[in-house]
Amino acid sequence: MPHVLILPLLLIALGVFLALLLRRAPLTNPQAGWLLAVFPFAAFLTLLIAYGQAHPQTFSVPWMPALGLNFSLYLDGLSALFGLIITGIGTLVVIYTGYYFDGAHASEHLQHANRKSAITNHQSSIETRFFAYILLFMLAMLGLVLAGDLITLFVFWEGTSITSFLLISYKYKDEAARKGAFKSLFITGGGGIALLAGFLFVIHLSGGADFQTVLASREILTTSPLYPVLFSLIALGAFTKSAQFPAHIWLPEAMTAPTPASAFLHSATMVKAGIYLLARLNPALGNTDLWFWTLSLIGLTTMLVGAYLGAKQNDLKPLLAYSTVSQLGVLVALIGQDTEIAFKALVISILAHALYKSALFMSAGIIDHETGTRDLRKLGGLLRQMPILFGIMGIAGLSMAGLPPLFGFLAKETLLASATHPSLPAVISTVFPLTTVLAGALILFQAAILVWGTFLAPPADPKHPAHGHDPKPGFWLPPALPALLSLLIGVTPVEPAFLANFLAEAAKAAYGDKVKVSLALWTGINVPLILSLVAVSLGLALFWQRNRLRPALMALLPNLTVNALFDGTLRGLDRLSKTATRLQGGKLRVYLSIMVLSLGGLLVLFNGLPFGFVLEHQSLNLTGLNVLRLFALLMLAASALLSVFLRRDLHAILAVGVVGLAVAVWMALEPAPDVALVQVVVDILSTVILILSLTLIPRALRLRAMEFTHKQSRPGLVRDALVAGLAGLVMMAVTLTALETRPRLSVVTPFYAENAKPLTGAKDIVGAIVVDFRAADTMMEILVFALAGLGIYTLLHYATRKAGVHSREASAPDLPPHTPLGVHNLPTSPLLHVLAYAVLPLAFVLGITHMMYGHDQPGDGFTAGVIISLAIALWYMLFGYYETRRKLAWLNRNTMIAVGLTLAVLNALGGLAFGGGLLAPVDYGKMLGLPLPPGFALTNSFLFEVAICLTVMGAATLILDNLGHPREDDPEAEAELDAIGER
Amino acid sequence: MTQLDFITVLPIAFLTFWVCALLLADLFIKRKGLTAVLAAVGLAITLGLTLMQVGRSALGFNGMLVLDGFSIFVQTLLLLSGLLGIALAYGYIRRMKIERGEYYGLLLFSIIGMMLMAQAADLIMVFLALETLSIPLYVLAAFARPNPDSEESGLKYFLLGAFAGGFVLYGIALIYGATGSTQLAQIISVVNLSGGFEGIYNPTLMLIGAALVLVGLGFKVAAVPFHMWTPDVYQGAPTAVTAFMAAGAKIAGFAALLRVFALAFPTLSADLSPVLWVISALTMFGGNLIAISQTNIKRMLAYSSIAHAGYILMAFVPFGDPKVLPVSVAAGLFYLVAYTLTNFGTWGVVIALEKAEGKGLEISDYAGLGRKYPALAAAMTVFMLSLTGMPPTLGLVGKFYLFRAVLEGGYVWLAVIGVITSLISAYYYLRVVVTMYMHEGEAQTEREFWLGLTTLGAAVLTVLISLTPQWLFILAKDAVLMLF
Repeated sequence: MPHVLILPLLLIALGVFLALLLRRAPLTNPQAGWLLAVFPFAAFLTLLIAYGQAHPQTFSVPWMPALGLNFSLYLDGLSALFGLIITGIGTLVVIYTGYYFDGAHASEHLQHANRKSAITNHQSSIETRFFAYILLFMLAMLGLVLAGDLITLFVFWEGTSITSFLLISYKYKDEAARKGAFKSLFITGGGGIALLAGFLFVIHLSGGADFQTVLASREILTTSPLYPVLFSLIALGAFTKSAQFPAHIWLPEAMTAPTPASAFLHSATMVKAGIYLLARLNPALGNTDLWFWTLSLIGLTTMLVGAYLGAKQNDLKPLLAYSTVSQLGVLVALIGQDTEIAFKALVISILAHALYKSALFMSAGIIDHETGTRDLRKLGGLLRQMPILFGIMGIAGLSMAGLPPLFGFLAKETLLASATHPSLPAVISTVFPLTTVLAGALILFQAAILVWGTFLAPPADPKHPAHGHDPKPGFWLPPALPALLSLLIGVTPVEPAFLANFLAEAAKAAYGDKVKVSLALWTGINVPLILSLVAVSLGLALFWQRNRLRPALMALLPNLTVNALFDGTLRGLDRLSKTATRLQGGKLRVYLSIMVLSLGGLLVLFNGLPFGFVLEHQSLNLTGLNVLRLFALLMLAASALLSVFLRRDLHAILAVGVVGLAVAVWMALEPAPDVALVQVVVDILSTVILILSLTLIPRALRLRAMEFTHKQSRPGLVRDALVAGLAGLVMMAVTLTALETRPRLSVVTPFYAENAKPLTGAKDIVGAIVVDFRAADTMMEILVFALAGLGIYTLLHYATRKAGVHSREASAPDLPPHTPLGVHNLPTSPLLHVLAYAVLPLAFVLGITHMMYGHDQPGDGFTAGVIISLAIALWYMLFGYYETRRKLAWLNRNTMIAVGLTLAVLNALGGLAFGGGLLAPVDYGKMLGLPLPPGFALTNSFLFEVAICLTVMGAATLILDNLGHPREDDPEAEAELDAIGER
Repeated sequence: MTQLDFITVLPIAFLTFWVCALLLADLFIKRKGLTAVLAAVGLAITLGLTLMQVGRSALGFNGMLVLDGFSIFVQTLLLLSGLLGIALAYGYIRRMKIERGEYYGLLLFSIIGMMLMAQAADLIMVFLALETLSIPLYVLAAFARPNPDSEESGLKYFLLGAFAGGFVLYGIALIYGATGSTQLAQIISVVNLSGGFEGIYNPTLMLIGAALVLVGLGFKVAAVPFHMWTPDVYQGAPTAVTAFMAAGAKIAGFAALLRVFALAFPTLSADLSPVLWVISALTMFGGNLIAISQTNIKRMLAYSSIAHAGYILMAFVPFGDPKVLPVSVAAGLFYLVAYTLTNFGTWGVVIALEKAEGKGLEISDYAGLGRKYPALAAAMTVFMLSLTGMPPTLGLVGKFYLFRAVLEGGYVWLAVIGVITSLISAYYYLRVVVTMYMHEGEAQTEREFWLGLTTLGAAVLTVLISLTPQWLFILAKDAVLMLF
């Protein structure tokens, strides 16, 4: 019956739901506590039963079978030990929670809160949120220790980080609580991510995520070269969770959590997660030098630092927190050892610590609850008022101090035994016992001042002595039980065999081999006992001198806090981030420089751009350089330079236009007439569009922009020049490489040369490529062109509308018809008008010729479209928007685009219908027997050219139309532009 | 062959017709909500057509376009992104008073480009698809014109994008020079047969060309150091556009990058894998690091999207290793799904809080959200956890799968960098959670049906799919590239 394993988790999940349902229930907090405690208690019993049935046992359902991952649970001695501690203490904590939030002190936990929320808090009588959180945390924690594979474990691991965040931040209005919560989430949650990476390595190497596989792959894991990496990652996760030095800083700050949470999370459960993980993986990863030294050193350091810092505290909770840190260090150091006795010490310490520390935390909460303070400087003399609590804290304190006949004594004895184990290497064999004794003395000292300062010492502040009385039995019962257990296990005359066996099972799972566990306190006079005596006397001596020692500790010795490290790291990250952000100033120039420089770096560094090769093989072959080419080249270089140095924007645009024309000359000389033709018309069209766009910008703003462009700091100019120069050099190297190494043989040209005429009936290869061989491309290209038109239309159309022109046609100014006004509403010369009248029809003729004979000579639908558009552009410039619209009313750009695109598609389908394929060549002229002029064939290629021409014309006209539309004066838009100019 | 052509291009062709009809119909539609609905219907039908192709694989238009499991997977994701993009925009553009029919037309045109990108098997086609997807995005980024931020966004995107497009084109030209072809299939056969075609294949030129293509596409997916435009553009563009851009353009860019590199350039992996390694590491570091100091949520998310591009790029590093490639492709696709879902959800929350004139976009404006709108805050928490890679979210599963694939490729340190940067990212993602739940504030949100549905739906799916991710794994695994 393996399903019994899932039962404890389900029970607690049920508890969470019930807690949420209780919101409006007519119950008091204690009643709710008792009710909800049923669930963890049931889980406790279920676990016991399951363990009794069989161990180890597993339960598994597929989760990501494709990756070989399951959701699986695993129960053996080790997980049972932790599971029982979690559910057992969990039961007590839930009961305790009810009383903690009870009655007049119900809003104690919100002491920093403002009035309003305190009132709301009174109205909802049950702390359902807290109950739900703590049960949710219990669920995650239980899942963590019961997980049967690494991934399930990780999921629950992060679950505990998140739920503990909710608990710590419960008093979210308190700045300290917020900080503490963030810190704990960041450190433990972040450590969790490192853990995931470590797990990934383990899974990668061992081939499976479940513990059986992982524990069986010790050989592969420890001998892999990746072992140090995966060990570091996993250790990082475990150390951050278990508050090892220097990541221990989150634990004391997490004490801002309500006390029930601290008692549960920071004594018995969450901080033990790292311990559990290390113990669990010890058989697979342990027993290497790296493991031994890291765990021993970190553990011992933590032990000492925690004990030392604890001795400096005045507040009960941080004092307990630091002693917990110390104890966690002990546990980590023990896991690092490879001796049987160490693992015996481990399990005993885990149990002993869970018992006494939860009792102490809960008692501290009661003191706080009853007297209103946890400060040792305000407490004292409570013995008479709270005798029962004194009993509880006294017993637990004695156990913490490691004095007989308590369970804590046994823990310390076994610890000392493993610290003096003969197998320890040289350095550790002295350091380990020494630190243990020292830490033991300090912990005893803390336990003593804790109990003494609270109950026995005279009130620290005689004028305002702390008042309080023993609470209801339900409140003190939860801490009393574990304290009592600490005593009972120590004093029973007959050793409880079931407990010893149980602990032995747990130790065996962690050690990987059989461990003998006896719970006898008296083992004769031996080295550990002597050391123990030393520690006790030292501790008592410290306590004797407490009045001198504590002020000295407070004043003289450093705080040893590494908070500065944490804060510094985060601040460093912030600062680094801010520095990096400075590159992101919003300047296009900088962005472009970075892009270009990276590209250059990439080419030079990674691709080994063969500069040397280029320089060596560069044969300065000047045979092809005739006068015309030289002229084009010089013109190109000169106008490129001019485009940079000319101050007026219009001039610079014209210079750029000249660059394009110079390239066209080169192309024509190559000879590549088709390319040259396209280059010419496109160059002119884009120059015209650029100039028209300039007219849209107010003159003042243009002037300011020009000024701004040329008013740069000298270093900025030098930097830009350098970047541009370097980029030019890289591009030159690329080009030279291309020229020098290009294949002498073309595979493509011969194919097209051979097949153009027979397959498509075209003498002009380029024409054949455009409309036949690569017709699909061309379809896409005209789509892109149309899209550009649509884009400009969308942007400009609505801007004019915003500028107050609601219906464009209706807003024609009151001018006599046929008043040609050009750019900037300036009258234009009649001579030019005549020219425009003549050019338009000519352009049409030229365009039609291009389309008709595009198959046999340079020119095609695209050039035809652009040429006609250019003629129309001339009209726009000379006659102005309104006049052109009136004169060329038939020129409907939307219709043209629509007809063009439709024709292109229909034509393609025509190929499908008549030619046996989409875009397949069909000669309609021949098909229908039409009399056609010689050299012209009415093929679908021709129709395609027409479609291209129409689309291009439409899109170009659309652009011109929008650019040429006169702006109304719009003060709002002007102001906006000014604002931009100033920025 | 012809019928095959038709089948390969059917969904795209249908969508193209639909958009053209939509633009015409829009002239007569008064309530622009109807245009949105029609656009969504068009996408849904296209999605149906795409899904009908499942299982087919074909090469159409003389090797220009390819249809395979990979393209179908990517296109499905793109179409779903489109639907989500419309859902987010529906109320938003009305609220921001920029509701115009062209919005949806441009969105669909952009999707057409993206879908082509997924199917392109020829470099020219890649370039054309790139332009088809980019031009509408430039316009959409500037859609809130005359809002200066939006104008700046559109202009910057356009200028730098045009530059990057130039890189791609130049790269294609060099590759053509190096191999005599622009078709991926022919390129690789020329490369493989270079012994037999002595004098045709030119590895140096090929390498330079490939690097240029990488730069151009790296710009599209916002990889460091070609990412500079991203924060400015994402911040200035209308948020609904940003959401769509952050998902769609990345998906398409990665699809093209993967196909081109895996099919045509595997022989260059000795040189290019280190480049990809460095770019991926830089992107993860750069994005996550700079995100920390952002106070504006849109900017922060822009850097976060850069960082995630770095994570996805990790899947590309072993592109030349035929043994690892299928795993890493699947992991990359899976991560893309996780990212897309989380992305739309996150931006949905941003849109819910955004006010007119760019108000409500500071992270401090999220204070108090946890108390006032618990559902929305819970959804945002899920997204933040998912972006960090914490359970119980899809982000964790995606990262797990991805890191594992990277490890299988033998790139141990890259995986470690991925982990370290995830750690850094926890710092700023969790800060949003802390702000929402623990700071006092009066967060205000808009209630819009489609927005709410998208956001909460994304949150629920992010959690649910992470619990049963198996089917998605299988889909991603089956979405294989067609090899020539």
